[in-house]
Amino acid sequence: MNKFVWIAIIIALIAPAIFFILLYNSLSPMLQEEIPENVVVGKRLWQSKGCVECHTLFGNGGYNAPDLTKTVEMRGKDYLEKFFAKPPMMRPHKQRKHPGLIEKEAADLIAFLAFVNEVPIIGWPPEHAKSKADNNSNGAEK
Amino acid sequence: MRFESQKAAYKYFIFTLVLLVLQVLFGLITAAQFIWPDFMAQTMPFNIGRAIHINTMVFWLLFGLMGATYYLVPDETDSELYSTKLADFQFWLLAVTGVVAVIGYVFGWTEGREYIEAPRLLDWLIVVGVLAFLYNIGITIIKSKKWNSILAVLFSGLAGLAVMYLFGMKFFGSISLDQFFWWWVIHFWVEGTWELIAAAITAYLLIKLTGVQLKVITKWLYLEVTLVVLTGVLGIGHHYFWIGTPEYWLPIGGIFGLLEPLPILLMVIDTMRHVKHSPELHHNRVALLWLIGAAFTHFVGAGLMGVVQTLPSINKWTHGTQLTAAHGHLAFYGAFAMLVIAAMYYAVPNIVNRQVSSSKGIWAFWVMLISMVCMSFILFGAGITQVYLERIMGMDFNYVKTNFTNFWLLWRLVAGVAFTVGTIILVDDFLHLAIKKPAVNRRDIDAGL
Repeated sequence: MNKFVWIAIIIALIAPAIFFILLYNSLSPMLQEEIPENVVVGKRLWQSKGCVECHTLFGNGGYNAPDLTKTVEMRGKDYLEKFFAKPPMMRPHKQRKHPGLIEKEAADLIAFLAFVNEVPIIGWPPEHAKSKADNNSNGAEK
Repeated sequence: MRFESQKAAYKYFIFTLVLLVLQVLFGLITAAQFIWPDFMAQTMPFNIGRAIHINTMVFWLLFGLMGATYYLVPDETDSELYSTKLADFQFWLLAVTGVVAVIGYVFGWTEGREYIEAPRLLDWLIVVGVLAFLYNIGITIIKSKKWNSILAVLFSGLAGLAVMYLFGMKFFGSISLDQFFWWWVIHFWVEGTWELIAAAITAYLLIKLTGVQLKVITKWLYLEVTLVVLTGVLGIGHHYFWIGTPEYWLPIGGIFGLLEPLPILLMVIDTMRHVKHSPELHHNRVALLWLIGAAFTHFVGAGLMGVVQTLPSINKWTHGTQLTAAHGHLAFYGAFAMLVIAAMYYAVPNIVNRQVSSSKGIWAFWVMLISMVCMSFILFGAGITQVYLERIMGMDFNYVKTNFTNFWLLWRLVAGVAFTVGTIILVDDFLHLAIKKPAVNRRDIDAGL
């Protein structure tokens, strides 16, 4: 019985050993990264408003509103500034508008979303198969 | 019940049911809001309702697991609990903290990270409560000098659970670091430490309900734990695909994610083997039914529904859709909710010294299980719809939601209503157990007593 336990412990410990090596490798560049002050303020705002309960970032969140990982790239900062200054109706709501922000807050939150936009994630979200096909056919026509 | 202090578990189980009812209620409201966005939009907006839905779940599962632990430990150590006063103090501390947290969410007092929304001040109270719990359990075990496999696995799971919670308390300016450590709480809870706790409680219930020997169970338990650690630790890689971490997490998360169902499959085989070859099955068939159901649903919900999305080449299409919600619902229900209910069905009748009336427990089992399986597969359909229309065709999120996924989500609400009916039957059964006068034993009537 004792031998069995020891073999089990040794096998089980291989995984954490590999994990800690990878952990060191993954964390060291992340820990050295300097985060601009307004991005940090924007992130606090993102959390305190509970945005993640509806939206997702990197695909993690509430699944009831669009993913915002690449929103700065897709919409542009001007659109987002106007969005928070004069929030539109939250589609498909008919009565409730998206919560708004004062100018300073909006600037911080957009700085945070712009920072998220630049995080290097390879391969997600995937390029739409359809738009890819369209691009290819366009290329062929030209 | 062999020891008086096992009664400490009772309060925990009652509060478990209260929170379960709350969770289901807020689940209903938020499920309705997917379809009718303006339903209660001013009084209970979706973001608050959802925070309450997922937090009451974490809380009731923790209360249930703590209750099961308080019932189990005196039994396994052959001694009274170190302190029932401490158990009571800890109960009230955590219960009040939980209630304050829920009320806080209504007023927007949140840390804004999924599942661990509780603000910092409440975090510290939770830490104090959990430390008091670990101290109570730890001292009881040490004093008894009876470290068996169940106690060892259970205690390491509980201690690990507490340690992982600490990583969720720090604020990170970097979103990648935030996600990196957020997954330490979420993944190392449900795919690590909670699995150890579940394996230990399953082992305990198997001994009690099937009469299998501890010696036999021990071998299975250690094998399961080895596999949980071996696959679960590096399996965290499947959450590090798209958060800005190095690329080597893709193959690692894929491979170890694929292996993660193995320990769960082992738990199913283990359970069925001992039930089939049981020298004498316990008369409490309701608890046994819930235990067997837990093993299978755990495997389907956590194992299969997770493993189909774990390869990076598939995950890049499915990640961030309702497929995750499908997996989440059935996994939590099978792995932990059903197990907690099984433990309650075993422990509560012993604590109140009454026989469980089998019919209601069996009804609750089937109604809740079938509706939850339906809900999960409906969400799966919604997720596949999203993958096709949003990811492949490139359609807009809101357009797909209003025109396509809502068809599925309406049926999800129907499943939710059915699940609520099951929950009412379950709670009603426990209320009867707790309140009604001792039932007259059928055999006594037959014997003319």
